[in-house]
Amino acid sequence: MNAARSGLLEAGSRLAQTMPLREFDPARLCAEAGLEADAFDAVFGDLQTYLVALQQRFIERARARIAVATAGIPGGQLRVQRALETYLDECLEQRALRRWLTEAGLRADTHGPLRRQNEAHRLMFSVELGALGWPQPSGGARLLLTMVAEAAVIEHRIGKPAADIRTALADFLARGGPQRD
Amino acid sequence: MTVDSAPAPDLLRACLLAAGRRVAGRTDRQRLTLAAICAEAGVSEKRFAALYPSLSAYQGELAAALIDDIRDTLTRVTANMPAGIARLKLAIETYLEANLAQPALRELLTALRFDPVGAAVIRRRVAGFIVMMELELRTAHWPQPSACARLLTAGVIEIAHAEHEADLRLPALRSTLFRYLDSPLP
Repeated sequence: MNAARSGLLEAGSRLAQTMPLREFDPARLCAEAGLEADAFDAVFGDLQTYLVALQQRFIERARARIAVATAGIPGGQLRVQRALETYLDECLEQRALRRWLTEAGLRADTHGPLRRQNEAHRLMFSVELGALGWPQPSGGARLLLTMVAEAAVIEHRIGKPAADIRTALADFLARGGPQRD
Repeated sequence: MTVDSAPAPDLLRACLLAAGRRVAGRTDRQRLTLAAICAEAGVSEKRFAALYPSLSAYQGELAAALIDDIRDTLTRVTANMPAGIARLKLAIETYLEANLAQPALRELLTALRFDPVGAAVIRRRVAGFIVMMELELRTAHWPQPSACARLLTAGVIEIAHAEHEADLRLPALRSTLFRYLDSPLP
């Protein structure tokens, strides 16, 4: 079952490069994964469950990449900034998959579950911002992640890093927290 | 008032939008359903259907009208202030208060997000807010005013969404945004 699950998720990443989510077809996905036509139903059951798993896999890969990129950097603004930029880099590299997930976010049936998945991110950044001395770390994390999501959408459209957007993000990170003289 | 007897399209449209504004302005979270709108306007659903091909077509027009109302309020409230951060903060506060006062608008916007025509209406209005915010930031010599306006607009919309869900003001979110706007320029 795990191999089938993994194969279907990998196949989704490949299919995302060739077709929009609205043309999603479980049979085609199974064929792409080299599995029987009923494998999708057996493993995921419905598209919503599949998309949530696809996003979870994207998040786990982004986290792993962030862990590598921030290894050795002491806790602080630079580490948070590096983490955010690494996340944006991952979004750009997984552009096709991100397009699917963005489409999924515009569907009434998947918008809520995908949004709730981001709660864990908020908690993680809330801890980081708390350590930086932000007076309202939870609120700060919510706003920061909203801005990161917006940055990802902008970079997705232009297909490359947007230097001014990343600088603006870094500026919010630098000046949104505790005031320094 | 009933307009079922001789409703010229423009009159009927104005009547239905006015009814939508009234329903949206109530704080009891009454949904902007076809039945609620028609009852408020004194118009039959048949007449409604003759003017609007779908409920979402009407909702898109109503959302645009409601957002334009908020924009007009912002313009009026900030009319005698010099451009800059203080005016921007007042505009943001006014926008958030208007959203809280009209929970039906936020529900309308949430529903329209999943409708292509409605989403286009929202995108155009959001673009207008970004331009307004960029002008204020540029006047304040803010670094990357264009990029910052886009990110801050997303932040303000997120606060409006969060406050709608909580059905109350969320000072932690507002103060985080305002602390940033009040911080010394680099």
